[in-house]
Amino acid sequence: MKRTHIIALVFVAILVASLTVMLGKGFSRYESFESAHAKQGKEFTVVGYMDKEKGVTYKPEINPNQFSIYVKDEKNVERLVIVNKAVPRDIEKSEKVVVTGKMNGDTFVASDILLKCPSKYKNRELEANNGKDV
Amino acid sequence: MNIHAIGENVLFGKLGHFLIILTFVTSLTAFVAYFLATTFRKDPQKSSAWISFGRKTFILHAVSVIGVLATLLLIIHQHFFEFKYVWEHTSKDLPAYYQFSAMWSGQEGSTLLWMFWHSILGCVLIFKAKDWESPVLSVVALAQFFLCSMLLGIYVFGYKLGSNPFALIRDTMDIPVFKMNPDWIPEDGTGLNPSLQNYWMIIHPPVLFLGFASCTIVAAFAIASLWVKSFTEWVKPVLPWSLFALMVLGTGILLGGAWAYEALNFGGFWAWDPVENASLVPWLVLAAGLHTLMAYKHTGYSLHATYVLFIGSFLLVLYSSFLTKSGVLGDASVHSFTDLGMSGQLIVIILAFLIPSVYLFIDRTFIKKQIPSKEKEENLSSREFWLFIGSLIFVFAATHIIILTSFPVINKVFGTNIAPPSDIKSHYNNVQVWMAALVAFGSAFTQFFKYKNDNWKKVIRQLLIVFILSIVFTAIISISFQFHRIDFIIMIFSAWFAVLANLQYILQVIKGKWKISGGSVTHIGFALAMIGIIISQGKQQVISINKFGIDYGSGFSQDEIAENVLLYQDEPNEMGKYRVTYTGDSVAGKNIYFNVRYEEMDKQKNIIRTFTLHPNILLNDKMGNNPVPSTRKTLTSDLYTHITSAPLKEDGTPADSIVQDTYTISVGDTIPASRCMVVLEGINPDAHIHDFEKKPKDIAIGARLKFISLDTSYYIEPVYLVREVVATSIPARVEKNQVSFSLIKILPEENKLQFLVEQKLNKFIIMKAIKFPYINVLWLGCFVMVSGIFMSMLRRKKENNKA
Repeated sequence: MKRTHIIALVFVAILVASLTVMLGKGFSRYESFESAHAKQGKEFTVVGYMDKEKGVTYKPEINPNQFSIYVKDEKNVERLVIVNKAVPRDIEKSEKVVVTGKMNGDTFVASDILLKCPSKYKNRELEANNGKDV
Repeated sequence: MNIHAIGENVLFGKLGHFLIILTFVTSLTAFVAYFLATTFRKDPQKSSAWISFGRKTFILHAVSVIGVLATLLLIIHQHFFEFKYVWEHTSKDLPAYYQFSAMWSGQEGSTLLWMFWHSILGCVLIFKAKDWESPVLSVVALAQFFLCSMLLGIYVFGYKLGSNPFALIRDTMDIPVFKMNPDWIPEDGTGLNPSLQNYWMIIHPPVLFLGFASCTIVAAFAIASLWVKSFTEWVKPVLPWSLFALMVLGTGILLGGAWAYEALNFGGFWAWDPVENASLVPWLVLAAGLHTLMAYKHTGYSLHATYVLFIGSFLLVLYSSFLTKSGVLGDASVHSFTDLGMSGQLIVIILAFLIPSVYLFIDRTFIKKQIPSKEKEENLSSREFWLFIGSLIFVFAATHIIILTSFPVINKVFGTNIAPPSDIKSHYNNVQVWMAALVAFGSAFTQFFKYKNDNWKKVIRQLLIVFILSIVFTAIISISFQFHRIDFIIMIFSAWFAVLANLQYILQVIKGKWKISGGSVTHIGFALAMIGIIISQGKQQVISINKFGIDYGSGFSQDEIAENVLLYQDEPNEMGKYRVTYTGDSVAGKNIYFNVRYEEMDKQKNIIRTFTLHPNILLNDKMGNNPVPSTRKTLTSDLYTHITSAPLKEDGTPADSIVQDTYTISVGDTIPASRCMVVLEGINPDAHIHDFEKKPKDIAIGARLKFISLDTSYYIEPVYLVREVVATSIPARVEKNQVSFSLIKILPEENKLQFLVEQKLNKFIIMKAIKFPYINVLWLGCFVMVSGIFMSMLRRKKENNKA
């Protein structure tokens, strides 16, 4: 075996080993609120839908870096989610939200939120009032 | 009323679709012709007949691709909203120059752009590739064939092949209005995503796709070489092409970064978003391939690796278009496209190139054993050995990125549910900084080794002085910027070492011959860019730290996250060495500009400099308002200012507002309000009311509230008055804060009081300000790097012309 081959193999070994280690601890997993509840204080990623009827609570005059919403996860469990960020624009239009953070009692405290907005790239339904110029 | 005669504009769609079918047919014909020309290459007469037929069809193909592009631009420019693509991506108020951005903002448009560059490069090859024309253009034509198939939009055995950019709304969407009026045309389009309405978005996609297209050419040469079993002759022609691809793809990626920095609001040029990663990875692999190609050219080593890397880089381009266009990234990226139902087709395209390449490679390597390789090992003290190691590091970096980016794919294939690391950016940074440090370090000393064999001691002696100098420079930077992280310090050291050693190489070894110093210049540029990244990102400073936020017990450190500050109009706020004031706003069309005045102060708080930034919000009722940051650029730092949000009136202009909230609290609890708060300290059962005559039977209950604001604190007492059966609240007002507190309910069973808090808020903005020190070093480094690659390309092209 050539020296270069050995070095290449060492690289592969390092890569595999480090990925295994990361899988073990660094990576979060997609969870539901229920399963995150069982492991308080550990970091999770939850995918869900924002409850648009309950809306967004954001009081920038008091704290511009915090808002809260209600999120229903994929198992239909709804929880209050406090996000330590300014409200992202388009949150009302978001179809899906992905929150990363920890469970604190029954509240999910998120350090990050990612929105999936259908309006950006997906076909939009023609707005009903667009039909008026028939 | 907006009724067109039936079929008036639809004709353009028919023309466009006809041209698409023509491109599809001609690409297939050109492929077959060139394929046969390659097969019959031993028979010049037959072969040249096929070549000449292939040329004609390819040029016809190229013309029809341009025709498709022109037709699409025409229907966009004419606002023919009966076409779905036009309706979806543009609107009447879109400025003409953004119609280009609109054209390539959809999947179909970006595919078309890619095809356009393939056609142009293909035509260049017809004239320049000489013996390589037929095998190389076979590959290019095949790539075109598959790309065309993505625009067909026709059904084959019930499977929809591609998506036609000339589809009409009425044919693609089932909405009731067409039942009443089949000729209905929308008045206006839904408009271009406002974050794409930026000048970088006119130039970034064409450059990026030219980069992708030139990766195809590089891979086409590699595949052609394996195919016609000509293993050495391809090196010369492929070398300038691979440099061209590296330069253009690199520039394309950088332009994307510049766009992110100037138009997006995450405050940076690189977010390790899957879409960004998908274009970086092919670039890294291409860079690795270029280095092994150099080793092969001079010594005969590393040919196998070069094939794998060049073809791999192209396959990764295809894979990246699969990632962004199949919708698989779904939850992981903010800006991947949504599924147009073409995932299957995209996978077929990857396989269509993967399988023949793997077959050719395995056949020529293991079965026919034709690829020349050397039995003897590379010398440890030889340039080719270290070039190979450097390439391995590039590949390692690329593999790390692509595996992490592919988690959504892995989850889908294996049914797992692994989420990316929660702080993905620092994860990437922590790993990749080591890769960059190793690459920079290698780029410093590798050139000092001659090919084949050299003397260790000589190289060490040569580099000793710059090595020591680099340590000194690193110490100066680390101390003056207070770097504590060892990986950052090592990165700075490697980068300095690379800058100085490459300078020394240019001056001492090649004696300042600029024509052949492209490689060293590139390395210097890379190292400078790394220094720029470490300083501007590692020492970026959030200016707008919020000092008066109230944490609702979330358990997060406020320092870390409180990077948005609320500024009331005309109320100065001190942030670091700046006094920042929101002084007003102005409206220009759909843009609202906020004037944010910065007064820079010295230690005695004297104002030494004043400037005003104008971040704006681009109003868009269909897609949501889009904030655009404004940056003060100076030679040594950038001050980036971004409006996170601002209360706006119906017409979009900023407004005063009144907030009302009720709070039910016990003694000892706090009620927050803007820039102040009150603490309920006790209940006064016999309250006195100012300017009010109390009758004996009245019950007056006062709430003893401690009012606390930034500069003062005192007591106020709202009163709940019951006279006979009528209850009245007598609020306590604090004029300065425009706030009033009323005690509106007493809940004796719960031992709680209910308050109504009303506060008038003047116009305000919520903004974020970040300072990036020495970010210009990064841009300088990028410029030097691209120039270096350009110099190398010119040199290799000239060498080929002479030969």
